[in-house]
Amino acid sequence: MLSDYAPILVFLGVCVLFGAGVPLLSSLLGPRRPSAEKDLPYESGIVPVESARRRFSVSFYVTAMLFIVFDVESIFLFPWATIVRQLRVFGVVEMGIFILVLLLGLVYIWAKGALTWE
Amino acid sequence: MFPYILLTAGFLFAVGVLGVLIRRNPLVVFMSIELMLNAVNLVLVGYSSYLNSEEGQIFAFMVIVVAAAEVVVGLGLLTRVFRIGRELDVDDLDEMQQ
Amino acid sequence: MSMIAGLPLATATPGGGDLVGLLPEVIVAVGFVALMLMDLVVPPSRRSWLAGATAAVLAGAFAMSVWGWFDAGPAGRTVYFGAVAYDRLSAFVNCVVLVSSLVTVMISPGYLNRRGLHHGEYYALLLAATVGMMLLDAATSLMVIFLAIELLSISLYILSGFARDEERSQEAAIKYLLLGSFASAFMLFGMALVYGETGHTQLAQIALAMSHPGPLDPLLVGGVILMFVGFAFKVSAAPFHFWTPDVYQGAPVAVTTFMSVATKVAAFAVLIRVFDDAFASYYAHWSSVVIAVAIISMVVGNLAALTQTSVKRMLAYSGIAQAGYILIGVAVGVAVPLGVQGALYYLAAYAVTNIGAFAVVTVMSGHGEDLDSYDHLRGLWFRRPYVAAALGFFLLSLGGFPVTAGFFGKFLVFAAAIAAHNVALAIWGIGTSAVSIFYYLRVALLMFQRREEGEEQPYAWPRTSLLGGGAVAATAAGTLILGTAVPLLLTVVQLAQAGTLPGAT
Repeated sequence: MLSDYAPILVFLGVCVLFGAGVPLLSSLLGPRRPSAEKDLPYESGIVPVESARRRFSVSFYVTAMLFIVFDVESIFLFPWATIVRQLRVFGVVEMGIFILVLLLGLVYIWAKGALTWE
Repeated sequence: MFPYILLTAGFLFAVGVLGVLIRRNPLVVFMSIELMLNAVNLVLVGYSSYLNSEEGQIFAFMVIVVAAAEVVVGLGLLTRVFRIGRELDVDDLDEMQQ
Repeated sequence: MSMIAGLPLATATPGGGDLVGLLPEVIVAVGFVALMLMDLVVPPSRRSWLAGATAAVLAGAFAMSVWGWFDAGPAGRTVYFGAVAYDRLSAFVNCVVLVSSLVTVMISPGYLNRRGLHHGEYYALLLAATVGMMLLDAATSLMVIFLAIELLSISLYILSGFARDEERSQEAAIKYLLLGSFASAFMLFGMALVYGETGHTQLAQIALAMSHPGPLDPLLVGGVILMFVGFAFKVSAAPFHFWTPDVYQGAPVAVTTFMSVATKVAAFAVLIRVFDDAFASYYAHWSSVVIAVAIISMVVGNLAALTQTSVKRMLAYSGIAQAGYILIGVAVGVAVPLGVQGALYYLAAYAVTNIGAFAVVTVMSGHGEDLDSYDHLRGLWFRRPYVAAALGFFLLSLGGFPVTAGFFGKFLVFAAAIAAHNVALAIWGIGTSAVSIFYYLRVALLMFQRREEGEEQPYAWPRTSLLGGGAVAATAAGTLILGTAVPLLLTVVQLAQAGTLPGAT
């Protein structure tokens, strides 16, 4: 019973060794030339302009909220996909209605201007 | 295995309840309510695998979707309150109790 | 191990018979989406068209519900694989909910215009909440119950915050949302335990699993109690009532009108279906909790209402007390059928009376603010005699005076308590009703008080529109009918009660 978990233990050990070993190796082998630019936060290669702890625009919230709703609704596609062949036409129509209602919601927020960035 | 799932879920639920009762920032209160709902999901999914019945998993999907909808409405209301210009503290919500 | 291979193949698909059973709900749901889209094309000056369309949708659903009462027959049946009931209980409660919704739509355009809140979303959200309530009173599966409660709650959260620039309204909405989802989480935990311990989410199968004799299952009892806590929050029974006064006062009063009545009616319908039917074999374990909550609600609601100076808050506390009276019927409903019948009668009576009282407050609410404090009502009789008389009549009915709807509601639930040999419960009810007469009469008499010479009128009552006056007159007539045509209504609730859990033997 307990031996079933042995692979997990081995996996954990490899993870720890690899995680600790690679930075250690690179610090031992790599050259060291510190400079001010290298201490900056990494922003995908762009030079950061100001502190990261500034206020965000409320528009981010609106976009995020709308995203969450539509994103989470897609959860129902997964159980549906497993039996769609057995449900035949009925399943397709049913999911079509579901998607249609979601689409109408999208049309609504679009027309209301919730998707335009102020 | 199964009793431990229930115990973990009960513990998570209790942490959520405590969070709602103790924390004052509405955002953190929301997070605590989410924690309670996820504890419920754990119970549902745990029973579902224990009983080998898929109803619990579907129920958990429903809970996830409804929780998302609830959070969206909540965040919308909070940004509204913020625009009116109020500090975000649930103890300050006493405009009507004077 | 493959989970998928082990599942039975889902070859059966719902058919037309299932759709017929859900037709009133489908009409309102389609209406909800249609109104959302109509809001985009209807010009702002023509918003009253939206009200007309909403009323048409509600009237259509009402007609279908009445037809459903006869079509479903005495036994009723379940549709969509046992998820939703098509029976007389749901038809009856659907009608009550739809009438409440219709009255709200009648009083809304005038009120919203005066308050500068006439946005199109209002009607769509109203319909969404109505669908939630209709699904709730028909639900026979834990999943549908949960989804319906959330559909109506989320719509009502938004509606309570409908006065977007008003601090009170936003505060009410956030409070309602935070406490509402807190209570939902408890109810869900209870549902998860009930599902796990019985292995089913459908009420008929849960009832069957619970009726098997065996050792007491503490997790199942815990689940049942947690579910009751969630429902008690929705019907605003004490001690789960803390949100009620603030939300009722902060929300725009047209919204309060709707939510104080329709939510309570739908939530009590599902409470009756779940507790008096599905959980009937666990009666011994939950009845004492329900009785305790009923007594606490009657005492807390009536005592707190005595000291109020705001009409909305007084009606909120009165609503808490009324929930206590209806809970008496639920508590004894398993042993005595009269309990459920009394609760249903009380629900209909409470609906027409309370919606009438709030409708008066709505049509008398002026520009920029709601009519709220007692002082705003002083002398109403001399300026708006018909409206004042109607409000007085509603208050008498809420207090349980004879020849009004409220009297027979109270009479039936107290009789049920005595029939169940729980005389103490009836005495608690009669005693607290006697207390309630004080605050109802206080407000009623205030309207006949003249202002002194030279005293400034603090509040300008708006003119009553045809629609608003019609709504008040209709609810007053309803209150009178429910108070006089008792045998007819009694037959209706007896028939409605006959099949509260179709599919169960």
